[in-house]
Amino acid sequence: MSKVIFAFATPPGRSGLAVLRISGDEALTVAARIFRRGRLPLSLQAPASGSAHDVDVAAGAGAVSAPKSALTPESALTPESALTLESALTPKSAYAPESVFTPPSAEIADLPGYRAVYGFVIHPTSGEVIDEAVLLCFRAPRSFTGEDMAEISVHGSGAVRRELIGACLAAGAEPAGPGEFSRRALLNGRLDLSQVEAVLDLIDSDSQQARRVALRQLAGQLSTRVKALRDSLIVLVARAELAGEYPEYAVGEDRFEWDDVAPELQNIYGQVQQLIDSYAAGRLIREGATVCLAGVPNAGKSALLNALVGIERSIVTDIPGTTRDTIDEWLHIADLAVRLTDTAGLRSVSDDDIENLGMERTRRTMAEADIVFWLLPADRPVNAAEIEPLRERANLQGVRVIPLISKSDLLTKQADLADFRRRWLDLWNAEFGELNEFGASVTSGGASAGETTACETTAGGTTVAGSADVGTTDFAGESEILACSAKTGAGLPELREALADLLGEMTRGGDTVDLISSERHLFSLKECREVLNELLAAGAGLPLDIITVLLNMAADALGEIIGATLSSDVLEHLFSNFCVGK
Amino acid sequence: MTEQDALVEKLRGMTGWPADFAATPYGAEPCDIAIVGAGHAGIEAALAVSKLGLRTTLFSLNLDSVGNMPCNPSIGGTAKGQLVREIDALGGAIGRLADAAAIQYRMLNATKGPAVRSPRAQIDRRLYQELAKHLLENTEGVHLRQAEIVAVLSEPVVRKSAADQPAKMPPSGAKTPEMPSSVEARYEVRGVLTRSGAWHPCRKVILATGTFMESRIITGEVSIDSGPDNLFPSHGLAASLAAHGLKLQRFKTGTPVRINARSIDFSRLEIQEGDAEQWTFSFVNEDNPEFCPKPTRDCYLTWTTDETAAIVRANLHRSPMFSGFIRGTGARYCPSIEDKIVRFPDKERHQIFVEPMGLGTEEYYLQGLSSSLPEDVQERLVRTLPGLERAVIQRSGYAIEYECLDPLQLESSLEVTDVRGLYGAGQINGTSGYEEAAGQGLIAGLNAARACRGLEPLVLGRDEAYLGVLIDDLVTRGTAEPYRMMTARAEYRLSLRQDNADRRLTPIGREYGLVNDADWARFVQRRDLLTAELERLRSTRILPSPERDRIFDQAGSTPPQGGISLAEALARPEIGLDELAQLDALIDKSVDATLAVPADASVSVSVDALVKLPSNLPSSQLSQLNPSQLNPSQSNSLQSNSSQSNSLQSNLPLPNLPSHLRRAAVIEIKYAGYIELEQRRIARFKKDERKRLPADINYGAIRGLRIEAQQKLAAVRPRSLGQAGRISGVSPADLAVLSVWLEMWNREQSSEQRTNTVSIPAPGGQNVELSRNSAGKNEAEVTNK
Repeated sequence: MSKVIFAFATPPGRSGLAVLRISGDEALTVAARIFRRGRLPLSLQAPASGSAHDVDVAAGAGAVSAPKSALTPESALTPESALTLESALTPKSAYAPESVFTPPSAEIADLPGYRAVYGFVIHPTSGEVIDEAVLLCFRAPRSFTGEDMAEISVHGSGAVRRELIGACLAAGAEPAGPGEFSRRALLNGRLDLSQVEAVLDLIDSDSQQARRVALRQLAGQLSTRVKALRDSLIVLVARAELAGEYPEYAVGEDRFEWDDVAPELQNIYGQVQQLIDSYAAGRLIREGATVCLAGVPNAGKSALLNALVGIERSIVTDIPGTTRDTIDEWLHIADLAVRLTDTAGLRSVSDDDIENLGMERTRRTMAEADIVFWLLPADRPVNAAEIEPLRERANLQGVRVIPLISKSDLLTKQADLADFRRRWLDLWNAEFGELNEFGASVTSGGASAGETTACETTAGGTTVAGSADVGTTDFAGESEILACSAKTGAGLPELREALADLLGEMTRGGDTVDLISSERHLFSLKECREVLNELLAAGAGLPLDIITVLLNMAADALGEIIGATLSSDVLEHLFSNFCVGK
Repeated sequence: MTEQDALVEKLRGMTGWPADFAATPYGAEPCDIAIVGAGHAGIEAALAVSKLGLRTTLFSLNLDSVGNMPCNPSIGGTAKGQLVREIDALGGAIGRLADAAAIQYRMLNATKGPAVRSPRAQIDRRLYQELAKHLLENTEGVHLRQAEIVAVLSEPVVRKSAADQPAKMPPSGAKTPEMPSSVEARYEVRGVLTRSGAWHPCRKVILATGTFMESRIITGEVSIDSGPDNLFPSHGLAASLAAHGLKLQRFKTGTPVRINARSIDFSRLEIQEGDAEQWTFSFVNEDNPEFCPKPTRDCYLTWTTDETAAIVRANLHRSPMFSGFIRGTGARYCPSIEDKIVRFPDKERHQIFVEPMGLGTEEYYLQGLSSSLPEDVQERLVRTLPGLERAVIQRSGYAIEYECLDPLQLESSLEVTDVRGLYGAGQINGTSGYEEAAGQGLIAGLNAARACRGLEPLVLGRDEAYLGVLIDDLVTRGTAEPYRMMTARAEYRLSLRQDNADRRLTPIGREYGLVNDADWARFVQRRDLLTAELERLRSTRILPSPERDRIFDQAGSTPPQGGISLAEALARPEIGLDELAQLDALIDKSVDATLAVPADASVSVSVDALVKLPSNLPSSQLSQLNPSQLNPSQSNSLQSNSSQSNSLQSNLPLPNLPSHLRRAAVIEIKYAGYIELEQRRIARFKKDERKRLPADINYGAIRGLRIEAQQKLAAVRPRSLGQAGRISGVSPADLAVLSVWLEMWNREQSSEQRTNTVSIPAPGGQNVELSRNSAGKNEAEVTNK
């Protein structure tokens, strides 16, 4: 008999919805103590706007975006406005039942699996109404954990969350330990290792593409592909082993010659590399892209952020816990979640310690970004000083840095603007290399050839940081540096389009090839690749025992992915990085 | 009631009593440990017991077959050679006996890398038997006795309330209290009974029955109850074991014909000579000027022909293997000639090795022609081989079936889980091979003796020895066919080399009382010499010179720009021992001073010394060794000697450095990178080995484990999570469940002390207080990301 555990499946913070999961043999009994079927009692609708719950419940049924009424911040139907903090915490304003303990709902306790019920959650002892909610019932073994489960969707406010936790505790459930839902899923044979991670991705992903990838991985395509590669390696291992084990018999066609196995190894190496390449695309799809707005102070970064976010206002969600001096906003572009970050302006020297701290943070943000827009304000001369901070690019490996002219409205004459762009283009090209087909210069950290090592942030194999060829393809001078105005909105659609193209290119292949999206898989694949690399580089000169051992190691590394050789290291890593309730 | 009647009544009441016992039991000589079988396992077991100062009676059906080699007249081979070196490093006898009886040495895979380099030798099997028997007869505490053991008698374990809890380990060296088994056994061994009625009470029994239990040999349609070489089989012992509830399995193996040398046309065979350079199995014989190898004999090679295949095919219906007459499970790696021809029809010909059986015999063994076809077919078959057209068979080939234990019933100590005090070693544990048997014998003997002394067993890790891999495989995965040691079974084979077996294991053997003072002193000397040589190779730099660069050029290696250390040079694949010698020759000879390594560095031990007691050095040798150096705790006196001298002339090649040590140093340097890589893998491996599983887990109660896994885990009772992961039938998912369970179990153990305060908010809706599982988290957020 497993105890009943509960946890929120959705990340902390304010959100449209929060989903609480309850799992265990008595999960539905617990749910029955805190859930009532039917519409909210009328007395509670007063503090909320009239049509609130109908709209919200529609949203709760699965829509990603908030209802239209949330468009204007002032009148937005946040959970707090539907059910204010005060009303939730103060019993006086809440529905007061006559009995002290509300009896459990037999209807809920006996609910069949895969049934959704609309209603509201209450505190089991006080009977106080917490929020309206939708309950989804799963019956063992057809649930995430393989146990009876209830999923209750409520509004995603801190107050509602806190109340619901209290209600669950009062109803006899216990907070889940770290990774406990996934552990139970494992315990009940619902998941293998690669599936556990795919489920994490499935839930984490907030875009359609990521969902497709996660679904495919869940169906075992990654496993299938890795297994096939491993099988090919095992064939070679066996041949090598034979040569060492039965030297007198490993003669003729059974002998082990390096030249016979090298082509097959090369082939396997290529496939492993392909899987590794898909990681970057997979990561972008899963985690979203980070786009950083940077430039010298007063380049117009904040205005641009506001302008870009304004367009996407309806689907913006703010993330709490941002630092004082960088601002994050989330956008949806090209089917991807994009985190847009505003940064403190960079300049070469400052005596102000606080400013230096802020600049340090900016540099870090840039280094961690996928794309950096470097703003070139139209009210400043075309001058190398404007791009001076970009010269220290050592930490910008693999980051695409794109010049962007801001405040273009200040150059009223087209000719002025065109001239400004051309002069910047020349200067930029002279400094960092040519622009590419995306109408933006894609530079990479330490762009000069041979200066950097190959970096993993490649997309579809088109761009490798450190390659001197980057950005020079098919560009006959017709592309221009992008220009926009946050004030007038000019150039913003083009900017969005360029960004969408770039992101599309960076995630190309993510839709069709198997993607690896977890660090664990990447680690194992890289380990395999390193070993194969060593083999291919030195193979002809290596003695048989080393070749055999390396082949074994390569196969082992792939085995790690599909759990064929499982060290509990992997599990430890998995569970400590696993978010409970997902 | 007479004393004898009382004894009979007592014995009849014990578990394992033979139903149809004819003799009248009488009380015979008691001992600490009875060993059943004086083959390669029994020999090592007896010697190990003796070294721990206990008394053993070693039973054999026939004293003229002590240490018999009923199959190949050879010792060693791939992975097996490594085992021999390991046993030798642990003070065992097989390597020394093999050296004393070897008539051809061949280092297999000599050019394929040190990890697969494996020593192998042809053995004069009669000489080997004589030496083995003589050694046992001269070993203090060993009583060699010809008798057939028909029963192991035991009594059910009386569970005392206190005994239900595993007792604390007694202080090491304590004599009386026995080591409690981690799992409560059902029976406890009391003694063994011979067919003639001798009751030998003892504290432990080691079964080393080889292929003799209920054995049957089959040639064609003819089957007789017999052990190998027409020796008597053992009847009844298997039933006695079954009466203990032990699970037996029936394995099959086979052997080829032996033919007379005078009927062989050697001119038509391909000759296979032994190695030109003399090496030895035993570390103690290495560079021992007194070691005197026997005269050598050549081996020969021939091939099967189309005619051979035709005869096999035409007579398949008469083969017991294909008619279903043989029930036992054979080994895939040791197929009979009929197997080979049926399973690989496209292979035109199969190799057959013609190997001498000894110096004092004309018998030759035909390796690769193992067969259980009828005798008349064998006669015709042999004569289809080129060179053997007129072959005269002296012994027919046959298949042999025998009973053995399912090794899953054993602990890692080789003790039978259910019967305390009963150990298995060798083929009874499902293995095949003299070397595999010898290794288990040594471990079983040591552990049985240690158990008598109340000491923990020696369990070698998979990262420490092939012997560790072997036993771990047996007790963890069991075996569905006779188990042969293979290089491929060792995950960490770069570290488990034959050349470093002493460095891996001799310190362990010394610690466990298996290595005598003289051998230990020799080991310390070897180790220190190697350390000095490694230090020299690392610190000696060779500056550029035309002579130096010529050496590199000739080796096909780009001459280095500046100076290069010898170690750096050796790290290049093109630079080997020869080049090292040339580079060494460049070093100024004018200061050639001899290091303080005595020319007679190796303390000589003749084969005779084998029969001496471990600590009983001949006086001539004692005079060469300062007694203080014999004490392991002061052994670094030798080390400081050599390193001191080394520091004086560190760049000079060490004179008298034995070639095997020079080679070992080169291996250490050339393989350093790969060995380091392997050490990292070993560190990872050990992490799970260290996660000990409680002995009393009720696997049936762990939800999520598949039934098969529950059964397998309950049967094996793995010591660690790592071992659990190696059990066949335990999937990665099962292991995940188990590791989750272990984590939860550990957490429960530790949280039992912790108070679980979860205060429920009052109806007024005050703050929720979550002190359980919420450390460091926002009280309102239980998602704990």
